[in-house]
Amino acid sequence: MEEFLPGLLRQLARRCASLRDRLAALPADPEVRDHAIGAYQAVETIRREVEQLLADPSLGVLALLPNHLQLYKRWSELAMLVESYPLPFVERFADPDRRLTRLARRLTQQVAWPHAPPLVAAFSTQYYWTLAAFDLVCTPAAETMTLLGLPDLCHELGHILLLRDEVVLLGDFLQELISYVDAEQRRVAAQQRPREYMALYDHLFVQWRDRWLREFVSDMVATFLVGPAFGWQHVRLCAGQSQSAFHPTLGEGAEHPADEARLRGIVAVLAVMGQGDAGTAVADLWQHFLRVKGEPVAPDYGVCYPPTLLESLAGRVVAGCRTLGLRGFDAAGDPADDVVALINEAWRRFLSDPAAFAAWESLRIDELWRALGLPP
Amino acid sequence: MSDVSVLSHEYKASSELSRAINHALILVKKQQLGLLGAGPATDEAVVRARRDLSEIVAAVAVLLGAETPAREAAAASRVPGVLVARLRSERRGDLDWYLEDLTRLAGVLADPARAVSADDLALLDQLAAAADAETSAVFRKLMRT
Repeated sequence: MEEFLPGLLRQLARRCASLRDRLAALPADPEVRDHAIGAYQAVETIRREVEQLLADPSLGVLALLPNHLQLYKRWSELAMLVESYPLPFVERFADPDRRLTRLARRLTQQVAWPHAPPLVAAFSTQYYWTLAAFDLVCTPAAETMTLLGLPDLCHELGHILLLRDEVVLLGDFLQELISYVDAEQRRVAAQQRPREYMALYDHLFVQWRDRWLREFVSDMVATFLVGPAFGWQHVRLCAGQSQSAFHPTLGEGAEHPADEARLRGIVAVLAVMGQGDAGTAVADLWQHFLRVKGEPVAPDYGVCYPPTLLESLAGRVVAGCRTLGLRGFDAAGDPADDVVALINEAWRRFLSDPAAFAAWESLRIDELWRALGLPP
Repeated sequence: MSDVSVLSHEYKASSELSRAINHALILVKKQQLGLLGAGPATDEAVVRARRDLSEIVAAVAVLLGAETPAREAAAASRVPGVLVARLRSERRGDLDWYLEDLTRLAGVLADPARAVSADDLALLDQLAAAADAETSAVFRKLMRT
């Protein structure tokens, strides 16, 4: 390994140089320039750090070998991330990507987004996702043809905001989460329930801390930005894709929290913003959806997503969004020139007259692209 | 509904911790091995590295030491929950001793006057290996999605 690692490092430096050169050779396109520069800087930083280690006389010292190997892994992973995400985003930037990128730019401008707008690509095989560290969002290929799914773009913006402004958005929520799990574990002990329950709560904490909290916050940021439209879109998405509204429950694992709890998080934000009626309307449709689905509530489900935690988090996220100067959906302008207003108008029309919706939507989308300087 | 968004967050937190441990640990080891030049700048860098490691070790100890997963938000925010779960599982047989060792080690690292022993370095290497394994696991999940 003492000889092998320097070889690996040299290969990695070469790969980074190759990625850097490809990024530098891209034709100038103002829409992707900032992201290309960001990716360039990332691989060039790795390359320089690798070269620095290659020049370090301590490379090859046995006691340091595990640590140098682990650093190599981190650099290699980061280079692979650049190669897998930002590079294809900027190198294969196509017409649907340009449309959605411009749309995201307009949206972020209108909501006073405090960071650089994301680069959006329309080639996802896994619905919407973001690589927040690189300000990249990926959507399904046909998202340029509909308005109803666009609230999910705001959910991905929520992931980016959380990465940049976690302290502002969360405050000391983690302490509250810890206190809740502590209290539940004491209750389990007091009730002399099986000892295994303690481990289930440990697992619950890890899921909240590492995963679910991020999803809840992203949902809540989206609700702050785009309002009830995000709630309607949540129901639409669940109607098409949800396996179970009450999964995961205690003892189960998943990257995302349960759809039912997410819906309650959305309604909580609407309530904090003084839009309780809109929340009730979304919740009514959701309840109807659940009744039709006929799915029973999973055992121990309630302890995983207590209303007190969701409501507290909603209050913190709304306050955090306001501190960051973001515009809430309740201050949106005219649907003729405001993206958030247009999305909510689309949902209002879809819900009130689904038969006439397609024709109306088609016209609005054509107008939208024209307004963004693109042919329909 | 994709897992990429949340996994990329997890990966970032995990890889930053892994890098932080290794960068600091390399400096401490180099000093032990006499591989660093003398001078105030070097001394200051080593003290900083020891303090960083001390904070991380203390955070892990707090998170592992509680009967519940964590009682201090500051510690919890520094160390991913999955790493704590991994350590809890790996050290199930000798968790109490492991906690004692970690608590003592955090104290040693925080005090520049105290020497770091070979056993201390081994303990730090084990922690680095756990953080590395967790980061690699999240990365593989991220690239598989």
